[in-house]
Amino acid sequence: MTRVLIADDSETILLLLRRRLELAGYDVTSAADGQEVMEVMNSGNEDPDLLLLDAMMPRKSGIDALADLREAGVETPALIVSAHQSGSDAGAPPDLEVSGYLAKPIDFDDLLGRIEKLTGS
Amino acid sequence: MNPSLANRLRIGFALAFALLAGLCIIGVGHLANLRQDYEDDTNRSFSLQVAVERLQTAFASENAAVAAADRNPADARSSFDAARATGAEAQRTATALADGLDPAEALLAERIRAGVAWRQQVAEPLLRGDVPPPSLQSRLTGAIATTGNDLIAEETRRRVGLDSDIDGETRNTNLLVGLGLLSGLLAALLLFGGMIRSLRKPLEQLVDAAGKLADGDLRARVAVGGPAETVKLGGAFNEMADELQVAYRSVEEGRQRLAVTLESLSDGVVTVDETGTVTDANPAARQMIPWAEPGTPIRESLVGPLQAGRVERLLAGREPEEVQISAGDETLALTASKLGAAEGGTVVSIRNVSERARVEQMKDEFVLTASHELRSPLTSVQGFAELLILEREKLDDSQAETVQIILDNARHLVRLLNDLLDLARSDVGRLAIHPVPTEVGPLVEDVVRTLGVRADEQGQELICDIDPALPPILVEADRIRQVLINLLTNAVEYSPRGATVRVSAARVGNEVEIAISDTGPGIPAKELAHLFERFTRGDAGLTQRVGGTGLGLAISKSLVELHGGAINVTSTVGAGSTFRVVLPANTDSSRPNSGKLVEGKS
Repeated sequence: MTRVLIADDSETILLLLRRRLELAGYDVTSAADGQEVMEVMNSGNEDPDLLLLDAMMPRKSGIDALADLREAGVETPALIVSAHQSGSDAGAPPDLEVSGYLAKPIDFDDLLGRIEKLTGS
Repeated sequence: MNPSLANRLRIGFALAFALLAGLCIIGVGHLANLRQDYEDDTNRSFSLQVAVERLQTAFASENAAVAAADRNPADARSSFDAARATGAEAQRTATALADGLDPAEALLAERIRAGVAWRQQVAEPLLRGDVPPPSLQSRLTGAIATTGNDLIAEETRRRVGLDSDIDGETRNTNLLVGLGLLSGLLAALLLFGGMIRSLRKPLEQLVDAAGKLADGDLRARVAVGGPAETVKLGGAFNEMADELQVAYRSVEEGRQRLAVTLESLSDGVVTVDETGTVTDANPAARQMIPWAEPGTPIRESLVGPLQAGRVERLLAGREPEEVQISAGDETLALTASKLGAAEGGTVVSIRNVSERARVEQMKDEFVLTASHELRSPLTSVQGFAELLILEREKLDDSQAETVQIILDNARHLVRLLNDLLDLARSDVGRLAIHPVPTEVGPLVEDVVRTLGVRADEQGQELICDIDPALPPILVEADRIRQVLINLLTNAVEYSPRGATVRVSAARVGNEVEIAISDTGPGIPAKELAHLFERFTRGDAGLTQRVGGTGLGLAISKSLVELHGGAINVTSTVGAGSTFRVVLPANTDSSRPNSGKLVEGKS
């Protein structure tokens, strides 16, 4: 089963994402901020096929977390969710390796289509 | 009042005429008298001479008779009778002339008579045969001859005297007439000289005063004397000068008031001529835009070519609203009004709207922040509603309908939020555009293709009319596509089934105009003015069907203006509307190069 790691500081959004992704048949792990994302990834217990990160989170943002992961050599495809429509608007460095950006409110048809394309499932 | 010039002329002419006429009559009468006298004298003289000559003949016959008296008394007697008859005739002549003779002539006539009488006295005895002694006879003969000769000489002298008299009289008369004419001429000269003198001074005064008036001395007045005409003229001149002074004073006062008003105005006011050169600027304008000195082109120093384009349109009268430009940290709003047609210039009023701009920016920032904050809860509302719809089988019909309503409204809220965000970002200058030279044809055709499906559904015809020789426009294609899609969507949605929607593009000066015309219901004039404002929509029923957010046109305007372009609309109720988008063509090398980042506002 395709595993997706989701991160958002809003529990409601996390619940929504989990419900929607599980309904589509994905295995979902969640994190409340970038710090937790790093912990999950560093624990070695999880090896997600895709990261779905909120751009803005307290403690550590999704963009910072992804930048650290890329630094550490993690190449897992990643989608960034933000209130903005493009990467530069979301404040991501231009050379950050991101598979795509999603604007809030999330268009789930678009999201699921992209996940399918990125994970091949 | 002095006599008028005309009256002076009349009087002068009458006097001169009378003088000359009098002189002529006197001269001619005198000449006629002279001539009559001369003729009378000559006639008399002639008669006297004839009488004298006859007398002489008579004397000669008498002499002969006396000489022959002793030898042939009969012959002597008949000769003597003939002589007597002649002498008597001379005497009659002299007597007939006695009236009207001057003393000399009278004397002469008297002598003739005396001569005749004397001879009769002497000759009678001879004829009776009393031959006188020879001494007496010769004395008699000599006396007779002497008397005749004396008479003739005297008469001749008299006639010579008469001739010289008549010559003298004629000379005098000629002199008199000549003098008369000369004095007439002199009188005329004096008359005209006097008249000219009487005119010269008033005229000089008038000319002098008019010169002063022309030089701007409005206090110049005249005190004109002379003929009535010049007095009247002087009065009229003074009156005119008074009125001029009053009029000038009121104009000057008006100008002063206006100048003070302009000086004290906190808004800047700049006048430019038809070439765009500043002709005047009030202190507020010079303070706001220091380059607005008279003589400088107003386009110069305007910040950025995109702003310059808008200012040019403003001056050309093609920008109905105010144009905001940035000058340093300040935001200035420019409005323009054409001066009179004769002058051909424009008056530009400039208001510092920095405060307003700052407030608007704060408001836009707030909208930006608020809409970000709204996104997370909205995501939840929309997302969970979608989840419920996905699990529709677990809901009864009423619940499913409720969820659908929640979802529809959540989606509308999302569109609203997106539009608001676009608008706020565009207005606040967060929206960076990257204009590149873009071909108009493919851009417009792409938009027409996108809306083609929807038009087909409505049975509408989409006509595309693009000038193939159009220059590229300097735009960010995605943003302008967004604008054109918005306008064409409106045209299609607001037009009835089977209507025709036309999209055309043509060059206008250094710009390209894209026009979208529909045959929809049209927009009433009172709504046209606010059409590009936020949350303004046309007919409520139609709008609900179309499902817009009321921000589309505001966004379109903001985006077009960000490109240095303009958008406007004309509409006739019942006939349709035409929206025109004007965008800068990439013909001017001073325009920004492709890829260069251009911020709409600083």
